[in-house]
Amino acid sequence: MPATNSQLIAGVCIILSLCQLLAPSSAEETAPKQILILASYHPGLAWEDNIISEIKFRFAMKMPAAQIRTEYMDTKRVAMDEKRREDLKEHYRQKYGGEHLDLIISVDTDAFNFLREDRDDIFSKVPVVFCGVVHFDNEIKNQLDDFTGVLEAYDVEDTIALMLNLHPLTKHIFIVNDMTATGRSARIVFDEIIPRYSKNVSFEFLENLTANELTEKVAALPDESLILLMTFNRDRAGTYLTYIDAVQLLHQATEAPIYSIYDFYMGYGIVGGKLVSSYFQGDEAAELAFRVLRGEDADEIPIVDEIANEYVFDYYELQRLKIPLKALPANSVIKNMPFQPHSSLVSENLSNQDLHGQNLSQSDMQRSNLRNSDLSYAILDHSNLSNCRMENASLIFADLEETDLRGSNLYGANLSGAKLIAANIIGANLSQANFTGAALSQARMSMSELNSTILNDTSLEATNLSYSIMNGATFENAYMRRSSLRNSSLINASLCGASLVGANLINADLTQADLSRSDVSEARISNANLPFARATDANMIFTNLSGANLSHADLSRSDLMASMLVGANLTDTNLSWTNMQDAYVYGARLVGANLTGSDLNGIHLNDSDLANANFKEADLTEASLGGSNLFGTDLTNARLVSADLTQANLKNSSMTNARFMNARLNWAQLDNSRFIRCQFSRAELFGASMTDCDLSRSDFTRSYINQANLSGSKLTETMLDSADLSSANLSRTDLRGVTLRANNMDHTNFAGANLNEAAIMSISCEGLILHDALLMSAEITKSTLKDADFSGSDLREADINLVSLENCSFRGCDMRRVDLRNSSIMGCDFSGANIEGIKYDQISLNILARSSLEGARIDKNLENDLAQTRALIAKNENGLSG
Amino acid sequence: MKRICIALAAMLLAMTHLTNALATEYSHEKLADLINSNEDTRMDAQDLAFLLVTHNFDATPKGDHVEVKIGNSVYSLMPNANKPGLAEIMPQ
Repeated sequence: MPATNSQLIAGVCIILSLCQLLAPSSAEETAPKQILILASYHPGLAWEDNIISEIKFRFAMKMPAAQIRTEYMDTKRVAMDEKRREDLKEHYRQKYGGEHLDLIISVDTDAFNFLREDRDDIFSKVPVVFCGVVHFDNEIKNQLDDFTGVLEAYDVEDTIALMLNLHPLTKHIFIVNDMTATGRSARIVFDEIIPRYSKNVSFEFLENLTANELTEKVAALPDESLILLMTFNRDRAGTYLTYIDAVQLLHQATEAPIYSIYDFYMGYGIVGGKLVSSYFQGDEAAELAFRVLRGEDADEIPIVDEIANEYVFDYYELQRLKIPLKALPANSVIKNMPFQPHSSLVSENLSNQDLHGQNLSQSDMQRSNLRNSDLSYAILDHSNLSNCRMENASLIFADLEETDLRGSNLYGANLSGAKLIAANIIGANLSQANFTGAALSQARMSMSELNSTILNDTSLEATNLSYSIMNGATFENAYMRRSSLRNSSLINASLCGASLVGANLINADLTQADLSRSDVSEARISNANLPFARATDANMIFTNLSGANLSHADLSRSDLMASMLVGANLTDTNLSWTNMQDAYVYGARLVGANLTGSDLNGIHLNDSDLANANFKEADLTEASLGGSNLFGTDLTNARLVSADLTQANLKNSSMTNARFMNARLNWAQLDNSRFIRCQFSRAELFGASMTDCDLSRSDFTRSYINQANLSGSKLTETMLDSADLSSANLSRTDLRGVTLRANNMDHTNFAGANLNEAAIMSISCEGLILHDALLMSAEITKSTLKDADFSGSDLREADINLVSLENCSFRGCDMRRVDLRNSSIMGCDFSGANIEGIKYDQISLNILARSSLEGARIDKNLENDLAQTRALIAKNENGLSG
Repeated sequence: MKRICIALAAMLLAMTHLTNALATEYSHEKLADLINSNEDTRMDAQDLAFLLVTHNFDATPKGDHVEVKIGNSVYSLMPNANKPGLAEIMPQ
């Protein structure tokens, strides 16, 4: 099938693309660059081998076609005298005289010095990139032509400072150095630095010695001495020593700490130091080489004189010299660490170990002994540390996220600031441990022991601490939202300022615990045990404390709005100045509770036992107290406006200045109580029992006292205007001087009451009972009294004016000097009464003449008037009948 | 006898008249007495109006205060919280 045009075009495009891909990436790749590495020393010298290896590695990555040759000057083993110099010049001239070179890379000082002086004679004007050069002054810099490179900028001063920090008692520092070019350059650097430290420490150079002399010197070092090893490759006798030979010579001769500034000694006996890296030298030199080979002028490329040297230490030397890891500078590199992530350290004895900052992430360390170990800042996340012995271990700021610590013993351990998010700590012993500031959110800590554990400022959000024993533990200001402490024991624990919003504390034992200023809103604390607990100024909004035992607890000034306390035990609890608006406290026991000044608006206290509770100044507006027992309570100055106290028991209570306006006290028992100056306007007291109460100066205006029993009560100076007193029992009450105006007094019983000087006005009633009442000087006006019983009462000097008295009984009354003028006394019975000196007019006289006066004591004047009136009545009646 | 009946009727009429006259007895002094003889720091305008109406005053809650009419005068009563008495009485 012939190809279409579009298929042909597509094919051409693919071929062109492939050609492009297969073509050299740049012009430089087409003619391989010729590179010469001129090394100062010899193969096998670690420092130089590492530099050359790194250079070659970088070229293999970025410029693989480059052809690299290496020449070694061997200056460590053969002294660089004039003859040697000439031999080398001749050798290189013969070898490279006709060769084209694009670049020379010099390694270390001897090669650099050789090229600086002889390059033009041997290699013409080939640009040079140098590295490993220690000292470099401006005079040399100005002489360079087409040179750039990287200085071996080691930090001798930082290393000396480090040595003195780690060994503060140091008196002497011995500097081991040789007389090679490197050694001589180092000496120049030291001569500048030493004067800054020589005030407190003496410095001595161990240089230009034979190996044996050095060994003898080092073996006899005084106490408190340190060694700073530079290079010792060739001794005074010309004997060559490798780096390893040099450091081992020292290490075997002395126990004094040996520091250096070169990484090639690491692992052979030096403690460490701020080490210059051979790899870094090679890496930087290669980068500069690429820039020159791509056409940049070497003179235009700045010399690299700042390098990021690292603090590097040998773990074994640190252990030998007992240098704690935490004493090391931040971000130090520890070599020869036995501890790594994913380590298997099952049942290992690691007690008293310094594991500060170790990374043991995801390691298996179960059943290990880590007692007294320093694991501060260690990384132990996702590790298995179950059933470990970790008593008194330091885990400050350790990372233990999702770590398994089940059944481990962390008694007295310090976990301040540790990260234990979602860790499994079930069944662990954490008593006396310190978790201050630790992150424990979502950790599982159930069935653990935390006696006297410090958990201040910790994050315990959604942490499970159920069934744990935490007696005496402190959780001050801890963040414990939605945590579970169900069935836990927190006796004497301190939860001051803790946030326990939505926490589960069901059945917890918080005896004598301190919850002051804590936020337990919306928490579930039902059936918990909190006797003698402190929860002052706590936030308990919507908290469920139903069935809880809070006896003798102090919850003063707390906010318990809309909380649930159904059936709770609040005996002798201090609830003063709390906010308990709309709280549900049905059937609770509050005997002797202190609710002084509390805001109890709309509280539901039905059927609760509040005997002897203190409600002074409390606001019980619209509170529901139906059926509650308030026997002996103190409601002085309390506000009970619109409250419901139906069938409540308020016997023997004190309610001075209490406000019961519009309250319902129907069938309540209020006997033997004090209600001085109380406000009962429009209150309902149907059938209430208020016998022997002191109600003086109270205001009952328009209240409903129907069928109530107030017998024996004191009502002096009370306001009873318009009150409904129908069928009420006010017998034996003290009503001296009161005003009974516009009252409903049908069948009201005032038998034996003291109404002396009282005012009864604007009354219309039937069946009023006033027998044996005291009504001396009383004023009964503008009223209609039908079937009233005044028998046996004392009405002396009473003023009965504008009153209609129909079928009333005054049998046996003392009515001396009663004013009956302007009144109607139709059908009344005055038999046995003493009506001497009464004041009467024609109307009352006419009615008296028709009334029963059998046995009544009547004065002469009245007797005469009555005789005349009766005669006149008889005459009139006879005339009418005739 | 006829004269006695007439006199009794007149007396009962007078009593009825006097009973009805009770509502008009309330004065500024009585209002002040009632306000100053009670203490309630938490009383609001509605509660205060309720108390005043209970005591036969022509009172109406108006937001944070109560308006009371006595004869041709109108008084504004503002509940006064912690101060003595229940409210400040101010003529409108």
